[in-house]
Amino acid sequence: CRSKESIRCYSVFPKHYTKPIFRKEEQDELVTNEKFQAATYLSFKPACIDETSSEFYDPLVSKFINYLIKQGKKSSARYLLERAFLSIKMIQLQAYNSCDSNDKEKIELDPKVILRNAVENAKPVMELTQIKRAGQVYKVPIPIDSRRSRLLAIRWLIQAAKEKTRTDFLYDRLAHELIQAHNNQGRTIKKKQELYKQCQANKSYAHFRW
Amino acid sequence: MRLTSYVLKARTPQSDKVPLQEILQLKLKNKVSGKYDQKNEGSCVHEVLNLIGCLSDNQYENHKCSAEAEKLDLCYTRYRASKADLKYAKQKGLLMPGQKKFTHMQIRTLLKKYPI
Repeated sequence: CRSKESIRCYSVFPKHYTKPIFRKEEQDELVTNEKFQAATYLSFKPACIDETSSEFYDPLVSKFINYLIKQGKKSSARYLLERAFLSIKMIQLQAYNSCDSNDKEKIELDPKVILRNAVENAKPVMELTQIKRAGQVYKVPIPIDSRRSRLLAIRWLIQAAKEKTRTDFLYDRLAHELIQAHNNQGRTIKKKQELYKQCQANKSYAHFRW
Repeated sequence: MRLTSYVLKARTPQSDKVPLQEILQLKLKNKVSGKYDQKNEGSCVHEVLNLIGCLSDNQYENHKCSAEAEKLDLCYTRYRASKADLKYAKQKGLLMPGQKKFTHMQIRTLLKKYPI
């Protein structure tokens, strides 16, 4: 919100309200920290509905659910990801039971670990942007910060799942895409590598950013 | 003749003595403009090109170029921090002790304090 005199802030909470610390570990860490004394005088916003100190809370999972939301239906987005996790578990267990005893250690069975690895593999390290110089638009390779690269990784994973054939359910397609990205294969990884190829083609314009 | 009439109509050359009219004050203002303040310091072009070279060598697998990517990340965060500092100093016109190069806002604050 803009803090001009004539415009009222939209949010219920003023700007000086800080984000809540809702995890038990972070709270314990803060108590031992020097900043604790200063934090006692701060005003905190209440935690959001999905921000819990539960054992099952995962910041990446809740972020992924937020990107899956359509028309504000969070419950159906959560259901989608949970079903995708179920499919991942079934696929991986099937592979685990059918393979030799030597290869069994290599197969990851935890869907959350698979999601984390998939997002980590899909994260790009640089990006292209359009910059106008002398009336012509150039594609310029630029560095990328961690938040934006995570955004692009999750967006690409969801897009790749949606692009696949529509005979399957979306959660099954998402499960396949996540497993493929976990193994450093699939459409998302291909998309990332195509971006790098374009960066390589346009590397002579890199100085336009600065 | 027609030609001579045209010649006679022509403007006579200006006499040397033209009085100077002081329309604006002949004095410098206590202001400077900041059009060419932008600095190219701390650019990460070298790091970007290094990373692109490494990626093309390793079949565009970025986990093999983690060292280069880390360097670029470090450079970019540093660049953004310095850019933010500069922007803050520009907006406020803060004077830092021991500084040799000034932004235009800093020179404005100096001129405001000690007008010519």
